[in-house]
Amino acid sequence: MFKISRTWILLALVLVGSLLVAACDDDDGEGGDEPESTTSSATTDASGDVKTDVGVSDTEIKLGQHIVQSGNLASVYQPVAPTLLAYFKSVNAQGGVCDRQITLLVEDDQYSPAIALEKAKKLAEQDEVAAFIGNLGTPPNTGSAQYINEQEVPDLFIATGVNTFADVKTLPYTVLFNPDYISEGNILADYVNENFAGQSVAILSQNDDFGESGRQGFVDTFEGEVVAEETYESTATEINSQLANLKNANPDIVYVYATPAYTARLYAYMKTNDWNPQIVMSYVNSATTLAALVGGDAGPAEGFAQIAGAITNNYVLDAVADADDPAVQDHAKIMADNGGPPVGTLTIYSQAIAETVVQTLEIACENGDLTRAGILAAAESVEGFHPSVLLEGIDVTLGEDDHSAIQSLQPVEVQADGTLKPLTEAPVESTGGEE
Amino acid sequence: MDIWLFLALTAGCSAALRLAPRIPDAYRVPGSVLVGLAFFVAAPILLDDFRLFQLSRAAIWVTVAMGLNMLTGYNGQISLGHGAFVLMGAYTSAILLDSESQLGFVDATPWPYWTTIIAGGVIAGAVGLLLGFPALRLSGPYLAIATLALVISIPSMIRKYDELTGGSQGLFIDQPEAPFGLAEHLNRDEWLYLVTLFVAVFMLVVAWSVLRGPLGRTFVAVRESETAATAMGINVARTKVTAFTISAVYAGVAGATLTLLLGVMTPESVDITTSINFLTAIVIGGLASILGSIIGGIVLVLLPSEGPELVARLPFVSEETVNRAPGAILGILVIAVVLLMPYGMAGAYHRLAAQRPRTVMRATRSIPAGARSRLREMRENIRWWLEDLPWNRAKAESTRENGP
Repeated sequence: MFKISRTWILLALVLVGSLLVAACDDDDGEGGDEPESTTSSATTDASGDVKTDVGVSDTEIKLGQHIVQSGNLASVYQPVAPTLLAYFKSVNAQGGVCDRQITLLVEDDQYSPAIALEKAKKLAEQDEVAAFIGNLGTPPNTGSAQYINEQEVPDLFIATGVNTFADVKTLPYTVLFNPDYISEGNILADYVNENFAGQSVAILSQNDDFGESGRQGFVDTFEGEVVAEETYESTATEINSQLANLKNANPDIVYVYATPAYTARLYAYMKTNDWNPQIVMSYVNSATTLAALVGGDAGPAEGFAQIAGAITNNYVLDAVADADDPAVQDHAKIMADNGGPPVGTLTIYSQAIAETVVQTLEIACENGDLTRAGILAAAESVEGFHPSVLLEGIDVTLGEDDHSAIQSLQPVEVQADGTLKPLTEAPVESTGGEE
Repeated sequence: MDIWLFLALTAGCSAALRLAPRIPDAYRVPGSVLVGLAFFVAAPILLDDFRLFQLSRAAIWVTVAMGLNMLTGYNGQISLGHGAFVLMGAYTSAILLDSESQLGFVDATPWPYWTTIIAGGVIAGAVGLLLGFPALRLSGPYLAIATLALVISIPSMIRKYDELTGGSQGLFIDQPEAPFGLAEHLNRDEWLYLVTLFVAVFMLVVAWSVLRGPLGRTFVAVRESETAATAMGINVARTKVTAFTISAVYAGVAGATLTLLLGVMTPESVDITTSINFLTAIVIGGLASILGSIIGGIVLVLLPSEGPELVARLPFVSEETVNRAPGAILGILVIAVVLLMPYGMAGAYHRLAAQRPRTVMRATRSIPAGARSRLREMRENIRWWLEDLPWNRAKAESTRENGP
């Protein structure tokens, strides 16, 4: 009566079946079980005198990045990760850094803080990267930065300009790459103080960290009269009522801390209403991007004609205006040879990050310390490093108390032929700032 | 352990108890539920911290999906705006847990974290109650559009009142650690997982007892026909508002738990895509089904992050293509589910469970009798499944009624 019941046969079958299903999945599975080296103290490399702990083997340096790859913003920021991958590929082809190949693991954070945190956990705990590089965007970094710092993983050259991320007291492992927005506000206000003394200003800014920082930096330094201030939501579909209020205040200058899509709307409004104030705007509005948006169907040439005369800042070489620059041509060759994306403002910017990363790793290698702490220390000791694709005179300098990579900007005036005319002899360093 | 192995084992063992022959019918459902639960409770031992974090997020989305399923599946009101209630719950919790360092004028000490989960539910429920009344006047797509407005406006309001909410910088909180000396055995990720699991299970049990009681029947009666429900003496307006409120409470509780899990709350934490995906989740999982909510919540978390990798294993699919479009996988899944399993994955499973014990028993008995009868059984099963497809069902029914 007591046979092996069919229940158990069936149960066993189900178990075997599910094991088979899972077996097909083995290759990514076991990585996270036992992080052998997370807690173990740094070991000295057999082949050289380089100390390593997590994410660095004799042949490989593993880096991680979370960045938006799908959804609305993916179309804008899509070139960033492929550029980094292509640049590292070219470095690896020449032998890599410290006789090790650079591997970059990219995860899609969908521009969401929650998913960014999840991906950061995956990269830090399961994939065990040595450092994060170039995590992009304010919301994703807000989600992941605190966790990454708790894990004591270097969080290098994040692509945002909100300077709360550069605060070494709260986030000692995070290093900002972009010029911060408050500094830029200071620089633009200084320029206006000097060259447009006595003129009135109206301010249009985006209602978030980005716009608020840029507005704050400007207002703190500006000495003249602000006659109107308007903000818009980053999700707004039209901003005509704000623009009408600005026009009614009749300012001489409009200071714009907006993203290109909204700056383009301002230009469209100015055109239909025959209104011609002096425009002063953030470096976020790269002339090429803005001209394409303003020109629309008429083409970028028409766009450049409209935005000519606007004052903005610049720090990277331009894909169009500086196309003949050897650095840009080198960049184009690296991209073409290594399967990178077509050259544009963002690929040039991304290569600046990649070059700084390689420089950091080389310093760490010279110091004989490729541990996580060693990589952070190396990043902090970068001094006067000039990524080839940045403007002449703009260098990366960091320090133990200085976690903001780029602090000087070149004020420029947009010309009708698409070039940018420098307004000062050399790039200007921020005078204000928090330190 | 690998996450897919874990889920396959959980589903497999649970389903085995449900479907296997020789088990007294009274034990089938409780048995399969308990086995499933046992696996999830044991997860901290079986899985690493990163996977636990994913499962915690899944548990939170399961709670939201359950609430939305009560509203949409059982009561027939469509909401695309539950992300707004999640954010309200989340910010309630974040503000109550905030110490004075961040907010100038709220200089209270942080509340115990578990009370903020309740508070999150209460606040979201209160807003849900207020919104339930205007929602009465709208039905179907109009209600969906109105709720969509909610989820678009809430993040802007959060940015606007930044003294209270921290604006787009978000609010940071201290995440809870395991109490009573448990901290020696459980790290923070494990403890947070157990908290979210407890909340989800508790909310599911509450949903189960509500839905099988008089209130649940009233929900369904109103969904099927408001006229008939009125004729039976049901207060349709009150029922609809109740459903709206309850489902907002679920979203609020889930939101508060999300704050604990993430340790930071920003206006972008629940965006409009997520909000719409809650509806996608219950359609995939199964409308008007508790199991459907569970499946939907898990699918919603795992598919976007792990789906591309899984699909890229198929031949003819390049990883790059899939990585660019995780949304497409979800879309294809929705289409497949709607065509092949009109009542969602849970519906298909329930139908299987209702049919299977007999056929499975026959099939196993026939194993020694030789391959031929086993093949016949398999053929029968496949025919049964084919007949059940929507485009064949009408034909089969007419055949049954009129003869071949």
